[in-house]
Amino acid sequence: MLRLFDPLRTLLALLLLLAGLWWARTGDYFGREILAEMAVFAIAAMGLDLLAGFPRLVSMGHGLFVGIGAYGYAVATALWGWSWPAAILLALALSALAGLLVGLATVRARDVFYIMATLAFGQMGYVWVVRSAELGGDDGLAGVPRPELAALGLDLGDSATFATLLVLLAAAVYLLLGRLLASGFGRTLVAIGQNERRVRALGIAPGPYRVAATTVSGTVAGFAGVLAAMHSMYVSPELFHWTWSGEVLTMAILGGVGSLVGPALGAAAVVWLKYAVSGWTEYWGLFLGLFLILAVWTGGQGLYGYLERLRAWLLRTLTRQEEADARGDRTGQTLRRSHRHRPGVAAGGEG
Amino acid sequence: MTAAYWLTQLLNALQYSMLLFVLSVGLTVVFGLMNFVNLAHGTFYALGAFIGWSLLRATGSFWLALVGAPLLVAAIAAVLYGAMIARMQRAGHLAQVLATLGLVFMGVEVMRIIWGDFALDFAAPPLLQGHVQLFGLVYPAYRLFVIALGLLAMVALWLLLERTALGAMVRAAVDHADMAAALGVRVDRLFFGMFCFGCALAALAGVVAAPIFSVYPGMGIEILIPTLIVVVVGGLGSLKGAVAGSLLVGFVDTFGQVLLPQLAGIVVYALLALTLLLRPQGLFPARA
Amino acid sequence: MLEVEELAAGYGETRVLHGLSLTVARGEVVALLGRNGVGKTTTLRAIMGLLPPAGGRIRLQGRDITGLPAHRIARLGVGYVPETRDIFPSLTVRENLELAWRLGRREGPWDLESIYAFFPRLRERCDNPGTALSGGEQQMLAIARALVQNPDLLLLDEPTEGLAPIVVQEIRTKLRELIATGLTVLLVEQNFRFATPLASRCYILARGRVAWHGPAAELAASEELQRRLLAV
Repeated sequence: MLRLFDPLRTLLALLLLLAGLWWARTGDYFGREILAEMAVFAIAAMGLDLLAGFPRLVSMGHGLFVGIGAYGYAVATALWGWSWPAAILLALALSALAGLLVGLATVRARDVFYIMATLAFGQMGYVWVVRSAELGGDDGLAGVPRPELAALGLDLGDSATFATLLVLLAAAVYLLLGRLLASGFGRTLVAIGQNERRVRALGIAPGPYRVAATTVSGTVAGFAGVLAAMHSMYVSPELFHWTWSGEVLTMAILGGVGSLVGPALGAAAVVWLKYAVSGWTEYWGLFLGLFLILAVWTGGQGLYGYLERLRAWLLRTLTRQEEADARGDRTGQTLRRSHRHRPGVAAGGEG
Repeated sequence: MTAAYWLTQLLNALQYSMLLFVLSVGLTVVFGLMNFVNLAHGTFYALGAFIGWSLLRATGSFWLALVGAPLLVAAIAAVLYGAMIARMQRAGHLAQVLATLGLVFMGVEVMRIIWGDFALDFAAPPLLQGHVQLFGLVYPAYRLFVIALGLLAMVALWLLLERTALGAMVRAAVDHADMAAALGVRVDRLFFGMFCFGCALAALAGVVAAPIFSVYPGMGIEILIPTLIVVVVGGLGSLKGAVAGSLLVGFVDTFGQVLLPQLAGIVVYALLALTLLLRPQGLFPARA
Repeated sequence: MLEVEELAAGYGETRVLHGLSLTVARGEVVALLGRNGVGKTTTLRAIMGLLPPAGGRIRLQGRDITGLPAHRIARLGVGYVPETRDIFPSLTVRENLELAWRLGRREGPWDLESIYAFFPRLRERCDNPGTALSGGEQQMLAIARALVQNPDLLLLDEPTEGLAPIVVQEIRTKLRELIATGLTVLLVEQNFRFATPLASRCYILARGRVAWHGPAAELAASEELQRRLLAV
């Protein structure tokens, strides 16, 4: 379960939010485009964290939901001429439905089996879209409009306004998911991740929880897809491709799954690095792969895991100094134990 | 739609099945041994095709490429295993699986750097160019060769697993790894050997597929998904499962495209969903 | 033969054994008794090297084997018959035995021929897959598979579990014959009435430690001990 108010987590989230808002105001056009992309990926990665970080269901098929959200919005607006609120609702409904179906189909799969199953289902969407002439096939669909908010005095065509909106939306998703995960629902998801058999032995059927988590996670990813479509005003089948899902997963793991803010941090870091590296090499995948390998090699706790360790170390050092006059360093040990509660994505499951 | 047309489709399906079999058999046995799935399996397939292409260009011999590429790829796999995957035992097998995803990202770029972005032509050997008359049907000789090679691999692997002491050890370790170790089997070494062998088979499939599909960096990423579907549908860890899975996927995919063109490419995912729902352990799992 | 000192072991964060010590002398049969979940199977798995010990020492014939991998311990002469028997289902009865025999490579009285002579039923069923056997036959195969490696020490985990009384009787007879040949055995049992007549000494475990140890005859005679530590 996620603690509702963890100071470190909240602080980091606030820092990210403020940095985003500040950047949206002061950055140049290109910078704001990058910022919007970061926000989109952050939302997708947080949605993925709901599965990978809590019930430890490492999904490699989130491109399916992102793609459905993006195409749902694009088709409804650009092809059918729907209004943007209706298009968003349709996109969310479709991605929720996809999440429900994938959740049902994979409800009995675990671990590596789950990776393989989600990987395959994710790719299904890709194959479908690439071969569909109505959806533009390989070329995708262009002419996707951004919402018209002139009535509120906002022009989303303006990159600063759009980037600000996306950063705020990412914060909203963070709050909503945090609320959800701090509830009993979140606690059950964590228990499922630790030992599904024990959960069953307690008389709780894990199935419905897993399906519900997949549905919510899929919807959040679908929302990221809607925003991605608005952002680039264009959709392409690449959103569905399994390597795209792998990229989002890399962000989440690099940032640190199971913390919600970690994946957002990972998304920001990876997108920034992608553009930083693109100046001098076109082989970005080399770095992405290297980051993923390093992240799992070091225990899979990600950047946020290191921050937590740093905090634990600081607290230990500080309390030890305070208690130096008193005696014993038992406090240090208790702290060490209490900060071990969040194993990374890689740590073994059932015992 | 004549009989010849259907026979052609049948042979196409068989040829695709054989390719999938050679690809999936190593993956499934390794999974059976250690619950580990190598997502970079497709990368080794692509690497095999590229190395085969270079060998063909350097020596002019298809047959040398067919033998040499798998050996070189097995050596590369051995190095990667020793340098990376074996050192990650403590991190757990999920971490190892995710590390192979990292290898996928890196592998594509390495191949782009070495061989470029464009598809490379790969000529079939002169002996197998041209067509063969078969029951009143004209069929490319090379594709028949692929079918024959796949059948040969099936028989050879069956003999290896069912009729040799090494095969008995593999089966025992897949059934009960701990018990096999308690009898003196070095399960880790067996796993390492099967990992490299599986990668060599993937490379073999890569060379074999090259004259049909040509050679490009993304080919491994494309083939991985059908291969995984074979493994899941067939059931993990068993030769029988790999045979059944590759035939099912090969035939369902090929005939799906012919009979339900509007659902082309999707039918095979329906097969996967059905399997997961009705028989999540696959058709012939090694461990019931 | 075997000395276990202050052994600690467990699964993940859960500790099962907290400093367990026991010894088994050459040619001796020692029974390890106790209620469900006190760590009997865990002890055997740790000795076999299937579970890395978290603390303590294990010595086999004076040699420190703590932390060695299972396949090395097997080659040093420890045979293992797990509670679940773990017959390889994709191997025939013959293959199960041949695999063990080939891996054993140790001098001793047993080879495939003498094993079949000792367990004639296995010869009759030698081409059956391992799973097509009855519970009693599986138990015999599991014992035969360990024996054919000519172990110096046999770890035997609940050989009577889930078997019908008549089959238990049969297993008992076979074990008596084996023990008469001077085989060293560490026997884990839930059913002390089966174990005490076979063993010379007993250890009773409670909460991951040795709660009592002494001659088997003493335990067989003391209803108080039985009631207190074995809940009978």
